[in-house]
Amino acid sequence: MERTQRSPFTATVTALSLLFLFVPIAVVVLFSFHSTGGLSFPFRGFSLRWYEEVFSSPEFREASVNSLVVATATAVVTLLLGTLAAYGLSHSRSRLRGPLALLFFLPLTLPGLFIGLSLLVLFTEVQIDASLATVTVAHLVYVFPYFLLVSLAALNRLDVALEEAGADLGANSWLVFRKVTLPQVWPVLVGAASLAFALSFDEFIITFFVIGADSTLPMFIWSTLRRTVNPSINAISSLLLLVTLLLFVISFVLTFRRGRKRRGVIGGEELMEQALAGDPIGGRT
Amino acid sequence: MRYRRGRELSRREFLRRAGLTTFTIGATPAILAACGGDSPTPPPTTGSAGAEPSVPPASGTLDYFSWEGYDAPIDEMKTWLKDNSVKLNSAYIGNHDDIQAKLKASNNAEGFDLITYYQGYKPLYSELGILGPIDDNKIPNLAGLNEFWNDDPKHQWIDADGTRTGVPWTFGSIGITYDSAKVDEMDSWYDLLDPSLKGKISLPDDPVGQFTLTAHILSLDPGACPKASLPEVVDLNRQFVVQSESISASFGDMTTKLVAGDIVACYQGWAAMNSFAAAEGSTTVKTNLPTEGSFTFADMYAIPTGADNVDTAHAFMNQLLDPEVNARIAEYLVGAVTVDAAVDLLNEETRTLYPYEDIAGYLELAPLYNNPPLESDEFVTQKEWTDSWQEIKAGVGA
Amino acid sequence: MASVAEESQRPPAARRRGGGSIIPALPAAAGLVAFFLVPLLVFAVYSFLTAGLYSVSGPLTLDAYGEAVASRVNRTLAANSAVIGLATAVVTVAVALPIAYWLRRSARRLRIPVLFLIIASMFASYLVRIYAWRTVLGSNGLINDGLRRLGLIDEPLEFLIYSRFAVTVALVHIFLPYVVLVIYAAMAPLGAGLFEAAQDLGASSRTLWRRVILPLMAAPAASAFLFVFILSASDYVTPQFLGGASGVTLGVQVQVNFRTLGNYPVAAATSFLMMAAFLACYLLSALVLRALRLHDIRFVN
Repeated sequence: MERTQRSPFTATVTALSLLFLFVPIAVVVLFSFHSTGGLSFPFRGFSLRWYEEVFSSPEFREASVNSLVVATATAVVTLLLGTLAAYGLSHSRSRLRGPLALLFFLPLTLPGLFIGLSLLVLFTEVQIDASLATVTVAHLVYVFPYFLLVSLAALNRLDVALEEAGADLGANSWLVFRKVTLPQVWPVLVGAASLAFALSFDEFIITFFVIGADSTLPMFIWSTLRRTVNPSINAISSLLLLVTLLLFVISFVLTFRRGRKRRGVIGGEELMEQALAGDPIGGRT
Repeated sequence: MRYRRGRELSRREFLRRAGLTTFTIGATPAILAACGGDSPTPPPTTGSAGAEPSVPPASGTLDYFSWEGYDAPIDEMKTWLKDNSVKLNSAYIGNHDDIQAKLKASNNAEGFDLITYYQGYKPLYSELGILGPIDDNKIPNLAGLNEFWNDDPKHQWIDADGTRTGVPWTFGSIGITYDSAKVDEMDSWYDLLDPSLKGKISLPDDPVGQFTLTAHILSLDPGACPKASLPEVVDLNRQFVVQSESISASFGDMTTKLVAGDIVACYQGWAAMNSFAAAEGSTTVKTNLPTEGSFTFADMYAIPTGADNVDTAHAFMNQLLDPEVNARIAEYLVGAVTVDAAVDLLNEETRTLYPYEDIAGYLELAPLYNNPPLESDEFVTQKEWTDSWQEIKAGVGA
Repeated sequence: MASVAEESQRPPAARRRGGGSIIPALPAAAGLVAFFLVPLLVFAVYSFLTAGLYSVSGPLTLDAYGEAVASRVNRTLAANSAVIGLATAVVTVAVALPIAYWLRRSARRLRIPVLFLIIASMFASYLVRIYAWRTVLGSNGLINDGLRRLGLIDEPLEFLIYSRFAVTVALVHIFLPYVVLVIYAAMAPLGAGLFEAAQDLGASSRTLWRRVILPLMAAPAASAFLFVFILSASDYVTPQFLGGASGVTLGVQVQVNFRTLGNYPVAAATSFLMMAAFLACYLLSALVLRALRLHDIRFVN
């Protein structure tokens, strides 16, 4: 078992950073319960009216459903294509690596408006009808670099020896990937895919151009901004936070259970720690 | 909304108003032709002359593309949509320019049936060819419009040849919005520049609005402002920017700041902000029109070229001109009604926002301007102003 | 078995993976070529055409680029963008490194909860966070109000909001969780033996960082740095809400030209000039890393 390093400096930085990250989030959640429409202190009392408004408005509901559909599709496809791409890039010495990496990261350097408008012109030219599908395609272009950066960071760091050991023992690359590589990196991949979901859910500039006669939630919100800013946006955000919290808890619980079933002796939690530490499940070879 | 008259009624004004008294409110469609004959604008030429105007049947999906709220999410319209089995699809914009940017890039491949436009955009939209003709015969409720809207010398909703491109259903004006608990009402825009208010006002990031207002204050026409006058406009506008605590992203944003106490007044405020502020917890926000006047925005419903459900679009517009509906949507948006019979149906709070007893006089103080042209050798262009605005914002040349 | 043992004697460089195929990356590449590269090339052509009203036409010309470069406003905004981008990137990476280290070496049971919390904060929507910062940094906000109650200040601190400071704070808040994820992803697979060996040999904290951790993290940290720099320099929405005069960035010009003025060539030209600047930064960092021989360090257990 590795030693735990005591490090008051980094612990302090982490604690302060968590505070920094969560003070605004706490404000967001707090004001989602505000009894008036104000977003500033003094806080005038609690009420569920903004949640009621969010749930009762059909425009909200429709826009939310659109956003959810697109974000889920984006996250799933990004996870698949992105993991493949990161694996290919990190496990190959092909001369295509450089140009491909450039291609994958290039969308970052251009404004969202540019990507949205250029895609609209393309779709119009090729006569593809605008729909939630075109929005998903556009979102894929947008979130791909985010996913790739994280997954490459993990996949580039993998210990070669383990994979080679697997190969030497006769496993083909798919088996090596499934039994050696994936167990080490899946938490990171899932984290990155959920980021893809969050980014897609929140995106409105590119979305606006490639969507048909529908709206997603951010489009709806940004349009209402012209007239009024009220805690309904806080309510929506808090709901999203709650949903992702639940999803995370569920996925981690499932992992503990699975680990416990397979290993028996080693506790599920230790399994998780090993996985996150990059050690393959089952201990070192 | 209180206002002060800057001048006497002109003679022409007086005569027109005298003529109006012979018509009763709720005149039948048959009188429409006679009404049209009174004003310089020729009667609409679309549709067969003499045919009785009637609403076409509404059906199918209506694809709407404009601001959230302008698709009338009020009970009366929801019932109407349901009764007529019409599905309303709404795509919302965050910025007026989104409309022409998207329509031009896709040639309305999406098949949008209904849009709106601020009257100042009319010259551009006509040039871009994105406005389709509206058939007056399919909108009988046009007869109920306040007579001001039948006369369109600037051709912002009725072309010179009589083709209608826009249906006025609401409007609103700019004024000084301020927190009455913290500062007194101001008679002049220049009062906002008082040293005691430094860092306590704000203005919206609305280049068109800012230019229109500042030009108006300097007695210039923003739609036809001589290039030589640009520095003067830039200079005055910069003074307000320097005086501001910050530039607000929108009216809603400015309201939040008023309520939070970050600012006490706005350069380019809006009467609706009174209600928004009340909803956010502050009942002391008011708006008034200073002596120099300001400008009015009248968002017109329009049918873009390439629409595929033109009849339902007409039916929708007609329904919005029904007095009851017109009143309810004005209450919802905290704006004004364009239909005469709707005035008395308004609740007290909305009724007092605009002086309905003399709309024409009021709209002379806060006119319906055009935007600066996109291209011109003589007048300040949109680009020249936008560049100046970015420079003012970035503090260049301050 | 024997071959594995032999292989592990070889120096790290010779053991770099390379047997794999690049094919798994091709589906994504095909998608990006179709839906990104092709439209991009179309607009690249547009940038050399003459502007019409929300349209383009021949003849070919360099006018758009000339206009984009000559504009005085553009130069001011570009400078603003660079400053905001740099400040955000520096702070984010500098803070993420200690956090990743703590997660890797000290967290134990807290690792999962803390990682989860950090990732969870990414799910608050962009716009809502901006308004939350107003509530925190505003003149009657959390900080000013708190300091006033404690009697530490009489007048609210003006610089907290509608300033480059506020924009940077908000952008750091948005990118920090992401950078922590990237750097942690690169640090986590490092075997404990690496750190422990160095410490057993008597290395102080500083030496550990200077000789072991930072060189190993240089490449991923540089990627993350560039990433944050590019995205925060291009962001024009946060400055709209939280920035003052010095917070307006270049991205807004692209929007203005595309949307308001309908000038596709200039908008495209401005976008490509920005892209070129970012690519130059990327090249610079790649060269620096290569010169310092930090570009491709692989760790072997």
